[in-house]
Amino acid sequence: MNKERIIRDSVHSFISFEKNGLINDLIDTDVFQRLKNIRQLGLSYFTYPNAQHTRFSHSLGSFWLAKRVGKKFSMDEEDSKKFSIAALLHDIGHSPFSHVLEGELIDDNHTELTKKIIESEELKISENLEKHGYDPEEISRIIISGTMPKYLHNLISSQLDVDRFDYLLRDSIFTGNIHGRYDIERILHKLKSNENNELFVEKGGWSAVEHYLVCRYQMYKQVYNHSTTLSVEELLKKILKRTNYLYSNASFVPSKIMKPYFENELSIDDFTKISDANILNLVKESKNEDDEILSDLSARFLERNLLKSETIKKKNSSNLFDNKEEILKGIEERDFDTDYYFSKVDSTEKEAYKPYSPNPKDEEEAIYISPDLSKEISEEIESLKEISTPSEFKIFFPEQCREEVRELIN
Amino acid sequence: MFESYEKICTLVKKMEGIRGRKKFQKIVYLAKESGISFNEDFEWNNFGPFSRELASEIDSAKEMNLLSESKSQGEYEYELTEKGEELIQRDEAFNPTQLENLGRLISEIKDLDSQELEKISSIKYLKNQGYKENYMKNFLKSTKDYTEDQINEGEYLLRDISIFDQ
Repeated sequence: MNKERIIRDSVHSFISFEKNGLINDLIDTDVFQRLKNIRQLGLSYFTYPNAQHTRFSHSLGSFWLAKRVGKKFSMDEEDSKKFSIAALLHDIGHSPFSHVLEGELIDDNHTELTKKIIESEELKISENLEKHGYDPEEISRIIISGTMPKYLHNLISSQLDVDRFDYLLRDSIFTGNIHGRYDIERILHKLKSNENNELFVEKGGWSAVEHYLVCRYQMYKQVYNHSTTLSVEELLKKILKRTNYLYSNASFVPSKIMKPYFENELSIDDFTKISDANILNLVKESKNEDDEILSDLSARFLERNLLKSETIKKKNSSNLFDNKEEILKGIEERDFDTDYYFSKVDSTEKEAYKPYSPNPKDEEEAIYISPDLSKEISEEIESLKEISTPSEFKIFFPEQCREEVRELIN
Repeated sequence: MFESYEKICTLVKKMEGIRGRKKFQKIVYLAKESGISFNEDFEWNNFGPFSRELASEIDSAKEMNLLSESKSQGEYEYELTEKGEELIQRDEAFNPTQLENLGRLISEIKDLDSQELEKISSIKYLKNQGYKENYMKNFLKSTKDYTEDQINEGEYLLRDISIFDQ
């Protein structure tokens, strides 16, 4: 019998896999090991100092849950293996601070990068998959689009998927925020698939799913959508925007490892070389740049001197809407360039972490509770009707403008 | 400051209203694929490419009174409100070429129903993912119960959209 490798995990106690098997080989590639240097929650450690857990431990946790779900669903052995490989690799395309870098320094989103990394012949993932008889394209399809049977993809990406199951518990434990702890064991027992391979929850699991959805809502409010974290993310975006601008004007010299990011010639190999530390170093070095805006933004990041924020409910946003030009004018008048000292974050942008909405208008967002998919959970559980997805704008601006902004938005 | 809303309001205006959320989703997907600058990310879901971000934006646009929403025969219908008109009066959401391309795309797909749009956007998505013809067909037959003829018909419809030829 093959020896087991056992890893102690803060969420699932122990995670194990064969010492000489594919999972072990995939984990020990440099492209997977790099996830150890990418924080799962990006800049949330500005708000919750212990949120230092990584995409590596989350990937292992998702793998472990997938393995357990495979057994519970009595999946065909091969399907079960493919599912757990896909769960292990589902975040492999994340860059450091991916929500910030995608859009500023990286054109592709992490789904596209996941596919490229898994299928790349330059990296060791596809080589290892093929060595063990798996088709890299099929694995990336399970993650990104779909495959047969249908529930394999839904268990990786839907309202009830192993990704969310793991990160909610993990983020809750590492932020120290107890609101994310739900009864995963009960949900795993009661999550079933019908004859068309579609997922639904049996009656005995409804309360556990109700609790899980309330936990998600609380974590969204208190962790994922925290104003401090969003303010640091916006600051980092502006720093990268400024370095990009200066680079295009030949006024900024990035380090060798970061250079391809500025040249729009990012190969998949270049992409996999950087980690959180490279971005944080770039900020540190930028503090000493001659450019006043860049050095000021970087100093603000390093000294935690953040832009201030106001939250505006969308249903009450007509003043923001009508006074948008006035707000920007006020900031400019105090000698702040609004390209760098003003931001607006729309709650629609935090989609990855968005809580469940009751009575979903799109079938894709539903959680079904009958095998024929005729009933959705919020039709049955009254308390879920009270969960309303926060629908708001947050705006960020220098402290000096606070009074004026408040007057204009209220 | 409200660019993504300007874009979806411009689309609703050009479409003279959109009937069905699925139709809304698929048209934005096809517009994005044809190079028009919608920024929403689409992922595969049971009904083909779907953007959670767009779904939220549509709800937000309603909340901000930019779009009106009504429901008839089980489908949601979206129209531009006066406030929505006001937002896009300067017509700045897209550059002139994009605006022209959007008009062209709309004239070609406006009359397709939600099911046809689901089919062609699903084929487009799977092709973009590098699915081989056979695998794509088997996948669609197995997950969506399409027949060979229905898939071929979808491919013809897709070929008829001239903007993808460029």
